[in-house]
Amino acid sequence: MQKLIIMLVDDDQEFHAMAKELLESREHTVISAYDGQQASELLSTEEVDLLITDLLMPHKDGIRLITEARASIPKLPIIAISGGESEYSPSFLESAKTLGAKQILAKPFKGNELLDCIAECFE
Amino acid sequence: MASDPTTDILSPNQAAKVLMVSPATVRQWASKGKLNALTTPGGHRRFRMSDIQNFAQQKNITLNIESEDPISKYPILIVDDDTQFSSYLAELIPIFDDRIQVKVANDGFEAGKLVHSFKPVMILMDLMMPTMDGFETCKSIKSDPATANIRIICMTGYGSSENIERIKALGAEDCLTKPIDETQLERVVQNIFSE
Repeated sequence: MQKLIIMLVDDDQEFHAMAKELLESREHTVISAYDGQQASELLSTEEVDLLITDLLMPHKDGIRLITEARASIPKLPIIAISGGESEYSPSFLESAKTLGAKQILAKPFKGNELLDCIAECFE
Repeated sequence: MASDPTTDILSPNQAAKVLMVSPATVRQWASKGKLNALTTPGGHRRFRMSDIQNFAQQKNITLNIESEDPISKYPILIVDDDTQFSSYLAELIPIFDDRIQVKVANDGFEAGKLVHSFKPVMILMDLMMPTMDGFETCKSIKSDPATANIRIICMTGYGSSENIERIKALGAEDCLTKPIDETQLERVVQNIFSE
């Protein structure tokens, strides 16, 4: 698996730290953003190979981020993640898929599931 | 009037009643820069309750905020984590009718508290919010007999037919697509308050 520059977007600090550690353990470079707005700003200046984004976030939600990213960087693969306590997360993940997320992943998931998703994005 | 200084936006008539002066005096104070005023996209003046309270304190004016607000027949709660967008709506919606009073909640939990204290007739709510999303918030409001009658209109940046059906099944009356069409929003608000 090639080493990637991955933008990781999630407002859940604990989840963010765990995912970052996992990705860095596989020698990927992680650029962190904690909401959609911050991610949008970083995407305009940073070159990344992959965007992994949560959907329910403050300031700008993941759906808007995906829509904008698809418009500005059409070839950027996107993995949408969502979950937690909402029983309606699958609805948001379906929307993300429709809007162009290459992979979707419902939280909670295992580290290997995320790594498999990443690999599938680059097959 | 139960007021939250951080979220109340009043029309000149409402500000006048709170300050116990005529609307003309309020406008004059605003024109002279004595009382801070916001200007809506349509050029109408609006007043933050916090500005009115500061002004009253400086001028030693007693505010008429003891009793239940007699002018707010149409309380509307805006629920959106996008503070820029919710501020825009808080300025836009009172233009539709002078009797409308708006408050803003930035997530579903805050909305849950305000539905009991503010007693909105209508809630305009984003579907995608952190902490507690629009689906959960709608379900919670509609499942409580004390709040089940509140009319709920949702907003979303991406309104898939499945999501619109889901939110309607939970009790929302409509789902507007962002960016919001002001004419459509006005029609929705007027329809609800004309019933």
